[in-house]
Amino acid sequence: MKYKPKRPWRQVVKEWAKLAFVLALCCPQVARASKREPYIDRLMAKARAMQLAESVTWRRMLFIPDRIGQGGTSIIDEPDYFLAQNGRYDPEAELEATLHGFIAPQATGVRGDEHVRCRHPARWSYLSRALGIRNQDLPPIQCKSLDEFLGRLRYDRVSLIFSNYFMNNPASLFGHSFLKMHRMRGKGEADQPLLDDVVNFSAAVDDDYSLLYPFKGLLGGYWGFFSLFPYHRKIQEYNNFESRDLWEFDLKLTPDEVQRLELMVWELGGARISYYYVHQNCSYVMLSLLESAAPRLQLTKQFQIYAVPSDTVRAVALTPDILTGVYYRPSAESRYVLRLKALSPQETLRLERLIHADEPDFAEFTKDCDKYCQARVIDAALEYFDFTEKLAGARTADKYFDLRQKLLLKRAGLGIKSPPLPDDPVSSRVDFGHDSALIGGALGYQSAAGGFVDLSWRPALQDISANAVGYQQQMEVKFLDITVRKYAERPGLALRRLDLLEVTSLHTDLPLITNYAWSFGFGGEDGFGFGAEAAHMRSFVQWGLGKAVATDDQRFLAYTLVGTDFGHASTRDNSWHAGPRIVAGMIYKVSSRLKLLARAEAARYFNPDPIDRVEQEASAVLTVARNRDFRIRVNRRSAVSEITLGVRQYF
Amino acid sequence: MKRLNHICVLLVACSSTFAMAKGDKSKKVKKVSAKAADESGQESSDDSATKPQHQDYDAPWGMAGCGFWSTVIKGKGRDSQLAVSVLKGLPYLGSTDSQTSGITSGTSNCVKSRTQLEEAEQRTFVTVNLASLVKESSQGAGQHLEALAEIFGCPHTEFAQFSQRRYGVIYQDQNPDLVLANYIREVQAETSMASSCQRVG
Repeated sequence: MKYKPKRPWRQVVKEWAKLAFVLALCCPQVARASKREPYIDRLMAKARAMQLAESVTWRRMLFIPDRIGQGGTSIIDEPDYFLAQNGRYDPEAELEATLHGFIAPQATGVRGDEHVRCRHPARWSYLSRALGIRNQDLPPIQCKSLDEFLGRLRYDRVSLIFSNYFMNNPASLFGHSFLKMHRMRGKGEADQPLLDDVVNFSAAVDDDYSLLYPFKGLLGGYWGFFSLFPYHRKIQEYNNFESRDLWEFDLKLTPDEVQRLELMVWELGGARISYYYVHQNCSYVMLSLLESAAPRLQLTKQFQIYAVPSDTVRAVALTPDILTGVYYRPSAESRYVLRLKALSPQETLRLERLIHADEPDFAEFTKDCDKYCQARVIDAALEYFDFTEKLAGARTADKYFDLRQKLLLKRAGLGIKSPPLPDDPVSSRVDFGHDSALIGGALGYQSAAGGFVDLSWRPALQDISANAVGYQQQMEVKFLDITVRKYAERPGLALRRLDLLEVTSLHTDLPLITNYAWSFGFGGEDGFGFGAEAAHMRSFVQWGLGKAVATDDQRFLAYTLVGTDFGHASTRDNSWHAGPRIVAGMIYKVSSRLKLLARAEAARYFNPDPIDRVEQEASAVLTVARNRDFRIRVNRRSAVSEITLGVRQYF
Repeated sequence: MKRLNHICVLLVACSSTFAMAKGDKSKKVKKVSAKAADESGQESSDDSATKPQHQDYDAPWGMAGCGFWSTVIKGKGRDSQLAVSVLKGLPYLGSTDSQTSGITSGTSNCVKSRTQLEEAEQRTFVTVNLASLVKESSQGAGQHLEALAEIFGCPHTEFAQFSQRRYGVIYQDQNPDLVLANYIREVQAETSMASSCQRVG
């Protein structure tokens, strides 16, 4: 029988069909490619039509600040954070790369968590809703780690926390802020704030604590990173170790915003951001993070040049309808103050005897003091140990180790519960305080030169003449405080005074605790010399140490500081000068709005002939609004008298 | 402990708090790694001194909860904001395990089993808050005591009273590991507490 070959075209069709079948089985993405390409094009077209790349939400998710001149550049320096090669600078390119990433199949051989939908769930949440992308239209993926993260950490609220001004460290002078994420609790279960988490942003400072530190901090020489801690750690750090009051501002965010914040925290992970102490610091980044979760908020826009932590807290707290509660968490020192308030004078004496004794005499201690009295006194003693020994973490007392152990045992043996600390904050709410920057104007008359106008400006922070609400009562921090003067009968403006930095602490004593007043400052001033000679400009560095005393209600405070002054006046023949200086002053708070101040200063500079400086000053300050005060000031310095009437506006 | 090394690098919270209980210098804590975590954990268990050595104590703050790269560790007298931060060298996405990890009270998810998880959480909480717990236990009240009751799964009021009543036994050595062991032993020994505490033992 003759062999009849099959028709060649049939063979060809069969072979191609087999090949197509194998391809479809092995590489489904190849088979579907033809469908997907138009899909990404459609998505991009829709995104362009909606101008998503320019939307506020997208820009905020990329951390592109509303700063003048910033363009579309993100503050995030981490290259891996961006999916497009130039994603940091081009929001549209990043959007396109993100959409490509969304529809890509999950790569084999690598962990599913590397898929863009796993890496950037906040972007997925936003873009999928905006563009109507449905999960079922895309290749299935698994985000194991993300699912665990979201399953374990369920938050329902967010608070902004302000850690109070800290005088013992220049970097903390202006306070610190971070976010607290409230763990979701079951119905009827009480909050456990200590078990909540906080999101913090801080700089990674080199271990060698060099002189370059402030400069690197100012110039962005450090990387900043996000971190997530249990709140109880931060309480130990701030409340107990550094003894700083914490203020917690509960924020009214929608459930979607809280969830987006959580997703943003996930996305940011280890992303690094250049840390600039002045304008891109912990507080500014916290605001940016809040805005990324809740784009409806306008928080960072007002911080174009610099961001003082207390101002950033006010920016949030003063947003209408945002606060749902404000809570105060006293520092170790404040807890001691609050426990002291519960003591009668006799109990305070009892406390002092107890602390001073090498070996506590419990027979004497319990005499005429029932168990409630004993508990009050021991509770105050325990806070005294906490504060003076900086008891935090697993640290135990050093100086008072034995005494504390005995008192703890004694206290437990009393078998009664301590009452909670009274709701009577020792510091005041930061959002009630005036804004950090000020501009001031004053009209005045001087005995030597006639009428003049003073103009003042200061970016931060507080001086003792201003209303202390929202600030520490006995603190002064003046940064770049400048006053220029125009005399009516002289041409041109003249610098009157410049405080590059001036810090004063008038901390008063507490029972068993001795505090010293101190001050340090450097800058420049006009009017150096004596009498008719008082017309020289000089630069100076000065410091002082002394004491401050106050009435119990802190309405009246008097202080004195003794120190030295070292300066240079280039217009004098003998330009260098140095000498002792003494300052004494008093502050009387007549009411919540009116403050009276008096101050006297005497100094003798040797260069080598002595130049005396004697200055007396009295002023009254009337606060008429949170951000405005009027003031009258009479001053006599080195035989030259002047009077000024001025107004200050904080902003 | 070897298992922990594989699971996550981040027993930072656990390890550093152990280190701090020993009074280790910050440098010791700073170079934390899974290995260091292992070692310091080991050391802490051997440390049964009545009075922990804290002369060289640096604030333990800033151990990032397990899960984030940066660990912030503060040197003595340094500020908290510009604190020392240690990049642990984890690749951005390679660390997703650790990103998820440890975020519940600092240690969770460093370990996989519930028991280990609870134990690590209890240990971390007691170590980080020991000074506060000592005080509040003697006073029979306080937020730290409430939080510990929560972690132990005990009713709050009863737990506070129990802590005060058994203070002398539980806190006879103020070492975190011993305090935790004492708590577990004493809770188990007291029938009413043993039956009402869900996560002890």
